[in-house]
This record gives sequence, structure tokens and C-alpha cells, in this order.
Amino acid sequence: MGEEPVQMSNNLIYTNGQAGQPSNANNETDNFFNQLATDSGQIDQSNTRTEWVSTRHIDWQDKPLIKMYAHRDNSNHSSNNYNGTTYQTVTHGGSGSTELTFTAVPFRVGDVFRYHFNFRTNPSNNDLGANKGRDYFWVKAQIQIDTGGGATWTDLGFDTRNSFGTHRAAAGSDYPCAGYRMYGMTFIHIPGYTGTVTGMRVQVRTEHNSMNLNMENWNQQLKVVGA
Amino acid sequence: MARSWTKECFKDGDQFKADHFNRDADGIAQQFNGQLDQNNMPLNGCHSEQLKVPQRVSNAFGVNTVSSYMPTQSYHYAQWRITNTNTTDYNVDPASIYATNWEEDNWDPFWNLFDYSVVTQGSRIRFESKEGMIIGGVTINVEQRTGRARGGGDPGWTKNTSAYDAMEIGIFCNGVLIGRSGKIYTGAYCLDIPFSTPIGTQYTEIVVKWFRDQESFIDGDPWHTLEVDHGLYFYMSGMLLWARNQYR
Repeated sequence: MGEEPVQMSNNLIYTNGQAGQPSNANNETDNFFNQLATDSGQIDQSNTRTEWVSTRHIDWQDKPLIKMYAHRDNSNHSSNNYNGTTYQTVTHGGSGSTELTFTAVPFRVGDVFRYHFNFRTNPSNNDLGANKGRDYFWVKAQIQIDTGGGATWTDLGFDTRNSFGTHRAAAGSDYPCAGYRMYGMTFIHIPGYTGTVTGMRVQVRTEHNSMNLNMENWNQQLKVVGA
Repeated sequence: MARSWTKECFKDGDQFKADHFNRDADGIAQQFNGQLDQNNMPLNGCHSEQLKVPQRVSNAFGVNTVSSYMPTQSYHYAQWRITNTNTTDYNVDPASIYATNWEEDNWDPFWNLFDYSVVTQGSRIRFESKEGMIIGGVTINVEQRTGRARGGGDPGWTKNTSAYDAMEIGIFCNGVLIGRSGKIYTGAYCLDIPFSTPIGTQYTEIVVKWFRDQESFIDGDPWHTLEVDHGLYFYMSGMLLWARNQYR
């Protein structure tokens, strides 16, 4: 472990007894036990195999099961409209953008990325009546990882495709479900490579420019599980 | 480590033998000689299994499950990810979406498996479980739509179809239903459905199935003249199934 083990010094020393003479006049026993008590702290430390709780073998850290936990939510419950047929990052929120970056956390083969994102929409602002049949929107999650070639935003899970519930015909009934909807996604990723993770974010797009995705509350978290 | 000894009573002139000291010291000395580990860390507190790094295993049982076996738990997942494309107005399905029509594909009006020839991975995971609990979830994009039918006669009529049909997603562990979405109605949704179940030390398969009402099941007579046939379909455009096995 790079350190010499602590040497014990409390050998039991006593004076050979002689017939007819007391042999404990020099307090050997008291000295011995006093020293023993003083050393007991060191003894515990040196005898407990420190390598069992080191990071070399098992990668236990302060939180043994979760190596990293990052979280951010839209703390002020504000909403924002998103439209456009190319992906853009969800940036609104009382705590900042969904794009949260952090100090690089190394991961190994077999570590588990556990990601969750959920959000609410407010269809009343989504001009559904004017966009019947055009109300699809897409949401995807990304993590920023570096596997040796520089930090790269990488898709996690799959691109999710959602709509507000209108049917798909030019004529006929319409079901623009008014009210709040909550959507959620949980993705697991177990890399077969090593690297570092430095961020997470959410991107959205709509299938038609005329349709707004009104996103309200959101909640995003990423864990790396390692033991 | 308590400091203790037995008081020795002797009279002036008695010999005080080394054994008197040694006997008292013996209990403490034993702890130096190897048993201190036991006292400070239970024998079962740490064993060789816990010293292993996570073991990643891919596609061990033929359904593209990726697993990580760790000292106290294991994770497993598989996903079906397609290249989604834009649709045209009023159209439902990007080219690579999974779409199945009950008239053509002969559904059962019960739990149906995904067609593994299309959904090649993501709806099943297989792994070696250990006694404990399974906690997991499926994130899945499902969709169903209303249709529209037209009939002749005097006067002619049109009617919306499948407006109140429901769909449902279920998760089965070794054949037993352990989680379900509840009824979901018209729309395209990304569902995040949790499940949990006790599990033994065994080979485990978790499967996602779907259920789709068809109003025509009631009388067995579908609308033959359809203006829009979306009501006959069940759609799925992405799925990630995962499970965590927490060992007992």
C-alpha cells in the first residue's frame, strides 16, 4: 500500500523472579498495559486491512455504489416554447439550462449510466387547432463523454417521438387533449469502453415549424453506478 | 480493546510468577495474533466477490442484452433504436417505425409479443439473476390513432373509429406479469413504466408485451370502407428495457 505497517512496541517485559524476592517492584505490568492501551488505536488501524477499502481493488469511494450523481431541475416552473425541425437544447429553467457540465468523472467498462428526464407540457399554448396532424415533437437525451478523442455529445437511449393526441386525418374529429401532460424517460447505458463524462443535456425538435412545443417543468438527473 | 487484568493477592515473601502476567496478557495478545481482524470487521463483512470490478457481458443469451455484474447488484438493458424520420402531414409512421395492423397481422385481443423479426432487440432481456429483487423499467414510445369509416346507404354516413380504444404495455418476468402501464388512449407517448419483483438465483427473461383494443372485436365486423385506417394500427418507435437485480 506504499506505507510501512506500524510496528508494535509493547512487548511484555518482566524481570525474572527470584526465590524469596518480589519481582513486580518495577511496575512492569502497569507499564505494559498502559502502553497497550495507548497503542490500541494504532493496532486497530494497522490490523484492519486498509486495502479492502481502498480504491485500488473495488473502487469504493465515499459513496460506494454511486460514483457520480448530477441533477438539475427547472426550479421556478417557467415554461418556454420550442419549435424548429432541427434539434435544439432545452435552455430555459430557474436553475439554468438542461445542459449541465461538470468536472470530468472517469468511468470504466461495466460502469452503469443511469439517466432520467421528465417534463410537463402545456398544450393550451400549443396552437393545436391550427396544427392538426402536425403536432409531433421529439425529445432526446445526450451525455458528453470523452473516450480519447475529445469531449463529444453522444445520444443516450433513443429519440422519443410524442404528440398531443390529435388524430392524423384532414377531416373528422379532433382530440387535442387540453391540460398538462407529463412525459418521462429513463435510459441505461453500460459502456464497453473507458473514458470520462463531463455533461448531460436534453434536445428537442418539432416536426413542423408551425407547431410550438411548450415545455414547462423539467427534471434531469444522471448517475454513474460503479459497484 | 478493554484494559483489564485480575488482581493477584499475595503475602510478603510469595513468589510472583511470570504466568500471572502472561495469563492476563494472553487475551489481549490473541487479538494481535490474527483475531483482531475478526473483531474489527465481521468475517462476512468483506469477501473476495466484493473485490471484483464490474463485469460487462454483451449478448450472452442471443437477444442483445448488455449486462454489468457487480459485487452487490447487476444491471441489464437492451434497446431498439431506429432512425426516425419526419412524416408528412396527417401521416403517422416514419419508414422504420414498427406498425402492425390487426386485420393483416392477426392479433390476439390479448397480450401480444412484438414481432422479433422487426423489433430485433429491446423488447426482451435475458440474464443470470441472483436471489433478491429486480427493479427496472421500460421506456417506450407507443402510438395509436383514431380512424374514420364511411358507409353507404341512404343517407350515407361517416364515423370516427377507435376513438375510445385503449392500448396497454405489460412487462413479464419469466412469464408472470410484473408491471403494466394502465390504459393509454389516442396519441403518441413516451411511457416510462417501472416494475419490480422478487427473484431467485436463476436464468431470467423479462419480456415487454402490448395490448390493443379493437372495437370491432366486439362484433367481429370491422369497418370495411375506411377513409382513414389508422384506427387499425398499433405503433412503436423506440424502446429501452432495463432491470437492476439487487442481491439479497
